[in-house]
Amino acid sequence: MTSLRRHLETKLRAETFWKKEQIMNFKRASLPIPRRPEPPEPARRLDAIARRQPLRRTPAVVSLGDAGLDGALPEGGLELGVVHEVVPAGAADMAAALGFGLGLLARIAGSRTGPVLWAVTRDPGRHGAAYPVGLAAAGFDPGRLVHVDARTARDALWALEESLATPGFAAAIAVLAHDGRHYDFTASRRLSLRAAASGGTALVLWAGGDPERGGATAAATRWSIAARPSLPVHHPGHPMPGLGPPRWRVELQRCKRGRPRHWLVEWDHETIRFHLAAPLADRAPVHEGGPRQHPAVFGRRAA
Amino acid sequence: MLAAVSRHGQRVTAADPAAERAGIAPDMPLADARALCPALAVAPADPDGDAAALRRLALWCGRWSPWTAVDGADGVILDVTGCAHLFGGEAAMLDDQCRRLSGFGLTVRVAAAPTPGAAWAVARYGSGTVATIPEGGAAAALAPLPLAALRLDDATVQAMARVGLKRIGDVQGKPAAPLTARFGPRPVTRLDQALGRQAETVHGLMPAPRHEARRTFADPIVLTADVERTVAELADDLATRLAAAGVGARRLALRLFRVDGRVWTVTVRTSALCRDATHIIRLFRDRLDAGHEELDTGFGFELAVLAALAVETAVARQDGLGTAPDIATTAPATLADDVARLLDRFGNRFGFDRVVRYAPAASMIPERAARPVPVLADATPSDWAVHLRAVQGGDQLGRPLLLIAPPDPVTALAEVPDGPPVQFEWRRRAHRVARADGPERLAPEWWQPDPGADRLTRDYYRVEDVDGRRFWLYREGLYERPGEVPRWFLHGVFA
Repeated sequence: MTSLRRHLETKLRAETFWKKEQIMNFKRASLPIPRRPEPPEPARRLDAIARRQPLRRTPAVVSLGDAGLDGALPEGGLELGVVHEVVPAGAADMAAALGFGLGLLARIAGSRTGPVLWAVTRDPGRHGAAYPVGLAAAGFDPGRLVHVDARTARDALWALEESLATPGFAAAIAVLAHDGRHYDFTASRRLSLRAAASGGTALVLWAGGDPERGGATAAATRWSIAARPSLPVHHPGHPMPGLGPPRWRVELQRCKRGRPRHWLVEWDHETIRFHLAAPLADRAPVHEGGPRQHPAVFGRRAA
Repeated sequence: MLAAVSRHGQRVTAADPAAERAGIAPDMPLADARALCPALAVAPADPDGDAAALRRLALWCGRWSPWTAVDGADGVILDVTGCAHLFGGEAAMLDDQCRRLSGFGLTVRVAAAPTPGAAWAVARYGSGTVATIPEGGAAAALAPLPLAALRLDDATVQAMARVGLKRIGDVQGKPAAPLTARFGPRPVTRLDQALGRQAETVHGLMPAPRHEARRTFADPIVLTADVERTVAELADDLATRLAAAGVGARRLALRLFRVDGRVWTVTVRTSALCRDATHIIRLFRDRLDAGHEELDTGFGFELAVLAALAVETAVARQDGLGTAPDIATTAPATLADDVARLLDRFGNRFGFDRVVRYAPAASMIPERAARPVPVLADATPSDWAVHLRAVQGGDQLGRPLLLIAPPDPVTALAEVPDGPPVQFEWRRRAHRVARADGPERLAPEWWQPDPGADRLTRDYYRVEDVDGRRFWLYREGLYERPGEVPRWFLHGVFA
């Protein structure tokens, strides 16, 4: 009898205690919280260290060569120290995606010294192998290239990760021609963490995510590339016009702190820059320098 | 008892002691053997398997000496010069060998002598399980042995027996010239080799190490983690020795000796001199991770040896002050070192033929314009400036980003014979050409003695179809030359 009474008393005391707590919490929540003034910078840093939160640094960026493109990116340029993805829009756009990826690589590698890693997987679709003279024609120095034939995507991503951890590498690209399912959110997150720790930049060119799963990865940007007809170069006496600079429809599909957008972009292999192109094929492209002169002498070409 | 099929039917190859007591001898027909002993267990002989097992045993005998070789069909020869002190003296080493090998269930006879010939003779024709011939005692020890112990063939031995020479002692004191005239040079050569007057070397199965670190385990280790820890300790040890000797290693081998008579070897190579323990550990760890499915520990490893097989003199270099991975404060030489080490790891993991840099070659033929150079080779920076000027300067049409090797045949339709195609079909897709550049004529290199498949001149065109995709087509063969049927190929794809 006494134990039952003591039990009931304890229960009643506990309930009253929790009800009092609830009332106190409600009172606290409804009061306006006075806002403290922003502490100065060193104090903020110490705060962050004390709370073990990562401090948001201004990230290093590299310009893509065109003010319009740079302005559209949230950081004012291509961010360094992250992973970027390039995805071909269709099965036949692999070369276009590779060309765009090469342009990004040339811009990134131009700001640093050291070799550039190029990791490839097996190529059952027979898209072809990277041709160093063609890379030179596109404006990329093939003497800086280290080509690693990692047969599987796992090995290619491992090579990418290790090169990110080595500060002597300028940039790295992994071309996952097939077997892209190994590149999922976990793998991309690992790459991103490694890139953030060391400051290196990695590019992954793959065939796109699994549409059922949404294809989400931890990369900073995802670019989708499709080939577009280039500006014709007319020559008198020739039935067919010549080729202009390579032109692609570049769509920024995913971007942290940015909006998806798309442009028509050309690559200039002599100045190693991107240019925004006008949508109509026969109009001169609009950019800062005014209409560009196309060389009219037969034999001098842009690659 | 083992039997094998030979040209005279099934014959006995080897008989165990019980069968020998019953009167069965090798080279007896199997039917006779069965008649002698009806309850006979016969197994088919496997000479290839026996040879492979003997080779494995010879490799395993590398725990005593790095120079081991297979000797005939039933023996292993080791060159133990300078190795005996590691095992407590020659007698102790011979006892150890006898004990371990008979522990495998083999019948063993061990002999140590100053020359390979004398050791061969005493091991096969001497008495006792363990025999030692001291320095200078070869003549006395060999004298009572029969002439077959000199590794002579049966015909020579019989010929010498007819003359009355039956023991080595009979031949030892005789002048060489009449023997050579009568029986050929071999007996005298063999005698000289056995007595040490002529040199004979043992050609080992494994390359001999220049510097070595070893660990023996009282209890055999089985776990991969233990193996990795052992590798770490051995790498520290070896790095100290290499530093003390002032050399760096280019090729390293890790040998793990199993308890049951097998050896597991992992070899790594480096592109630059290496005597840094962390780098060695990482290289081996990558290999162990990659090949851990094949790491069959069996009953465990009892001895681990890390050997530096190829060394070169190292030049000391000043390091930078910074140790953090901050490019601004790290010396460029350290950065280059880090890159070289990573390329070593790639090469050891994927194979050194799959980690390449590209060097320009002086050829206009597109397939030969750039050649892959493995990173293991001397890294002289290749000069692409000339090529860059050529392709960027506009004298050429431009080169594709991706090259398809071998080129894909396409069916193409051109308006004029020398003009670019207006449409073509590639991999069962039709493409209509909207823009075209060309032709660029590349003729075969007449100075090559055998141009092979490049006998015909090619006219290259850079075309773009209505969708904006660009291709590098060529027409092989010219219309105006008789006997050439022009064909179209697709060689590459542009960006």
